[in-house]
Amino acid sequence: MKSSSIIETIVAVLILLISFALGMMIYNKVMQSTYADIKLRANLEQGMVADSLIQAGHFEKELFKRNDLSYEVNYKAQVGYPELLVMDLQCFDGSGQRLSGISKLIRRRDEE
Amino acid sequence: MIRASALYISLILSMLIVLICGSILLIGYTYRMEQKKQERRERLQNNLASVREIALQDEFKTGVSADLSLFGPEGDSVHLEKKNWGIYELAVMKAWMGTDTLRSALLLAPVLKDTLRALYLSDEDRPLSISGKSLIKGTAYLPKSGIRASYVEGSTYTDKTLVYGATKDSGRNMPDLDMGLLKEVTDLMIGLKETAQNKASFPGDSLVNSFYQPELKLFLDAGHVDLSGKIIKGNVVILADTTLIVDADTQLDKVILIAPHVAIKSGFKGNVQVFATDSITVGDRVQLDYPSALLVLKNDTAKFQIRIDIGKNCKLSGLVFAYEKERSTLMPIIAIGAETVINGELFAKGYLKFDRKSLVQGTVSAIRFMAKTSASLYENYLIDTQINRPALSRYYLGTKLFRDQTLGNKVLCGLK
Repeated sequence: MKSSSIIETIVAVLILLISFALGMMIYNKVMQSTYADIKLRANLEQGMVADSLIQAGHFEKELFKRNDLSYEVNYKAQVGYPELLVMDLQCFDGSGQRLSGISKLIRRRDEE
Repeated sequence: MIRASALYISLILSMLIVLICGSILLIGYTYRMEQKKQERRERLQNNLASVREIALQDEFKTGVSADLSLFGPEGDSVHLEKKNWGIYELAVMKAWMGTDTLRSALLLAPVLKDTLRALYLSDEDRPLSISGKSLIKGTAYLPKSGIRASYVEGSTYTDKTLVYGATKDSGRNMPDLDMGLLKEVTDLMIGLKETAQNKASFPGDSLVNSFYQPELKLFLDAGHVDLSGKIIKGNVVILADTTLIVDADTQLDKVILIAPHVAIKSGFKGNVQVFATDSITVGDRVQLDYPSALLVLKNDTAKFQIRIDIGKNCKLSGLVFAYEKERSTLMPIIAIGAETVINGELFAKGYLKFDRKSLVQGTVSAIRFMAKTSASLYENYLIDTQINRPALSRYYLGTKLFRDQTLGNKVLCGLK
């Protein structure tokens, strides 16, 4: 074969274009569906933040910032167990979008 | 100029691009799945920690098994079972989400209220005499007639201070016990034949039963009560209606032994709770690791003296307990051998006999003390005996038998 026909060339270019388009679509989808870095960090940090709050020992509603993440912590009594509190910790990004959250039972006695 | 093989090259390139994209997709998917799995694991761990807090509460009664929803309708299902395991409490917990499950088994025990109480001697209108190189460190509850230094067989009390700590008046009776738990333990021993599921010889050389499995009770017939060379671990109760023999090469871990008489031979090392109705004999150089317990509980109908004899150079961590419901002329006796160290609590509703150089790092409670020398036997004497409460680990936990002397529960140890 010495040269290609115009049809062959068009088909080759079309195949390449379709492959690239498909590739871009898949790449975008994976990037969107995979965990964003900030969400991952929120997930990793929330346990540490909860433990620090329990160690600090004053169980009151609180809003605070840590680096570029905002945290909101609430406490309520656990029905049937007067010594226990439900700690609810939520983590938000700069725009106020919820990234993660945990609930756990803690001992009220730790407050003393 | 475009070459004739352009179509082939473009096809190959397209395939490469598709392969690369497929790989990216696969990596992304795997990463996402792992992340979700990790998130579920963290949540289940949180739920387990929460249900552990419930298990530590007295409001969740012993003997109850229940499914609980912790915070709301989704993803917080847990199961908690709490029951007695000898003198301690056992909590078996499970948290699940879909098909993912995490579980945990813990031994629970209460914190001691009075961390300085070293000695309680019932008031029988006679003082406690102390002699030789004895030591009492901690709060001492003594008869109103007090404590005095004495001269015994050529030696007097070597120190000037009689008690390194506060002294308080004791009562005529021994400290109150939790009669509910005591009755449960007594019932277990009296009804041991009825509760045993199997009456058989020991199955093989080892018996290991997880605390996640139902309790395994093995009632040994009279010909197979020697546990020499056996390995027994976990959720196992061994019962016998004669003498149960534990040898130096027996391996016991967290198991319960129940028999009229239990003989632990010299050199044994392990972790065991022993319940007997007649007596417990412990040889020399025995090491019982925390949390262990030796309990002798007298049947109401028995007309003999129940006793615990502990040999020389032993190390016991936990509870040593001898009890009778109604005070008799043949009161229970606990005899501690020379140079034996007890880390924990000694309770005798009767006599507590110390050989020389015995050491208690913990609390001692008795109606009367006895001290034996080569020539004589002395009542309410401490000779070359040390009772040192501050030397007990601050992480030591008690038992609910002494309910009035304890606070809330804590985790004693994890179980398999």
